Amino acid sequence: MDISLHSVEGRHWAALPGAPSAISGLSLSAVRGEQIAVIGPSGAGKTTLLQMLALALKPASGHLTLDGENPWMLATSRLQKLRGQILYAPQTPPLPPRQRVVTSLLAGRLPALSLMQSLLQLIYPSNLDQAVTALSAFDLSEKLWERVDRLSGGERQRVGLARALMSPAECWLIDEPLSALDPTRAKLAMDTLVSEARRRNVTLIVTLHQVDVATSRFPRVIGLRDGKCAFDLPAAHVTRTLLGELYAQHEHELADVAAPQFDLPAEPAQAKIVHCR
Amino acid sequence: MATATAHPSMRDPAWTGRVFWAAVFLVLLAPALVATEFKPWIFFQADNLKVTARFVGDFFPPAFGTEFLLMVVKEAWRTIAIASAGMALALVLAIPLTLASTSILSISSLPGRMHAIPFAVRQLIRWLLILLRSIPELVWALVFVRVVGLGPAAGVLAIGLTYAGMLGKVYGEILESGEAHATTTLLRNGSGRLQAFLFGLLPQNATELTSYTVYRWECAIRSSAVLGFVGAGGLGQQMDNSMKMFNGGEVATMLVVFMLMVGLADLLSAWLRRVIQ
Repeated sequence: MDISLHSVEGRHWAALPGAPSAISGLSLSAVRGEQIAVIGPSGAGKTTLLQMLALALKPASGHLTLDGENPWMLATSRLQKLRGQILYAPQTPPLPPRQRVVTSLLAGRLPALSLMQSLLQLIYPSNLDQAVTALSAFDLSEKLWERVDRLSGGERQRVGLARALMSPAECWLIDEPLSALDPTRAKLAMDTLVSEARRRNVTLIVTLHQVDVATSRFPRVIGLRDGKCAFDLPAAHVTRTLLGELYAQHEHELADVAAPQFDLPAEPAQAKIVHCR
Repeated sequence: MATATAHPSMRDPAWTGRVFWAAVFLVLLAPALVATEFKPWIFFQADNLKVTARFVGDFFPPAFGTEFLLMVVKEAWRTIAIASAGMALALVLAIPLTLASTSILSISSLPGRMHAIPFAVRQLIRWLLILLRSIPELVWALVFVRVVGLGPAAGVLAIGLTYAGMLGKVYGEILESGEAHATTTLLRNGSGRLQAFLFGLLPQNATELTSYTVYRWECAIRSSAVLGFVGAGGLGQQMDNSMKMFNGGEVATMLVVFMLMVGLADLLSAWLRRVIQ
């Protein structure tokens, strides 16, 4: 999916009139199959940006087009169909506690199913191959029939990500996918997302707190600060100076993520690292 | 942490407010007590004690004739049938009304305020539910006894209509007060309303909905007793007959049967909650 934003302003519809917008004057474009990491300190507007792209939030001003079309001109039913082509994975995995993992995963396919088909899925789940493949990609295949509330926080987050692989979407917008994962799992999760998105030619936009992951795994990195684009560069051009400016007064966030998460050698060295988060 | 100068006052700042509201409550309660002629001490005057003693004394010994017991079992079964059929009718009415009026399942309100037409529809349904439950089932029963004649059918219709109003209201409140994250995310990702209900809202709130439904079924059993007094069939009608004949023993037996039925409903509710939990 091609995405284009032109000087958009994003604010929650219920925000107070005087409050500053979470996003202001932001322009960016992405073509089908592109992979982008969005970084920036807390409160920079990363989530608001994803929500606008996910058509969950209407830009207060400016232009948003998806595949050259303004989605907000569409009738509600066509708009809802278009939402089915975009996967938005919030930071907290949206899984009902009493649901089984298998059902949570099948819920990712809902936009592609009719109401009758989705009812049948509840009565007897089919398409299990796809669910098992998605789960094993995140090293969770043994949890297929487990209930969500029996999973750990990290496992839940990975189920939430596995749902992306189930969805028929052409654009994946993923908010902080690694926030509850340990380094090894985080590496596996990131590898899976990136390679699956490439294989399916899906546009992938991920917000990240881990700057090293952003620059090492993504060809393009966008730095957001105070709702504005601080830089939009190929990963190789993101210098320490730029990062220092981006995280000025939020250095603890940068220091925290600069811990060598991804350059780890295999198992033995891991024991030495005391990494509290 | 605290410095010596900033020693907090030892007086609970909420105390004055608490005393004030307690006083307001008492002042408002007093006229209500006067209006309802609330005088519990009259129970303990010698004359009244005698009347009470005679009434309760009539209950002993409870009636245990074989023929009578067979009749009680048959009528108790009919009472359960009236309550269950009434609940079924109420559910048939309440479920679609709940689904249509729950604002969490609104697609138009995803990016902001709900559109005018869906809002009006939801408001209309709310008024319809108020109308259904504000007319007491006794009044409905009196109406239907005239329309469909004496017997259980009138009770079923009366319970069905009133309880549809109650179920619709409380179902709506349960659904709206629960965690909406899973449901909203499904809608944002392009699922239909009913799909989002089946895969998000329902698993999120299943135990609360079940226990309220079973509790309402228990209420329906009690309610059908009252309806029996106006000729809507079941154990209540027999109790009315026995009371008119001053046959306290029969009344006592039937009261015991009612207690057993309510206890049964309680067990069923506890068991269902455990199964779903």
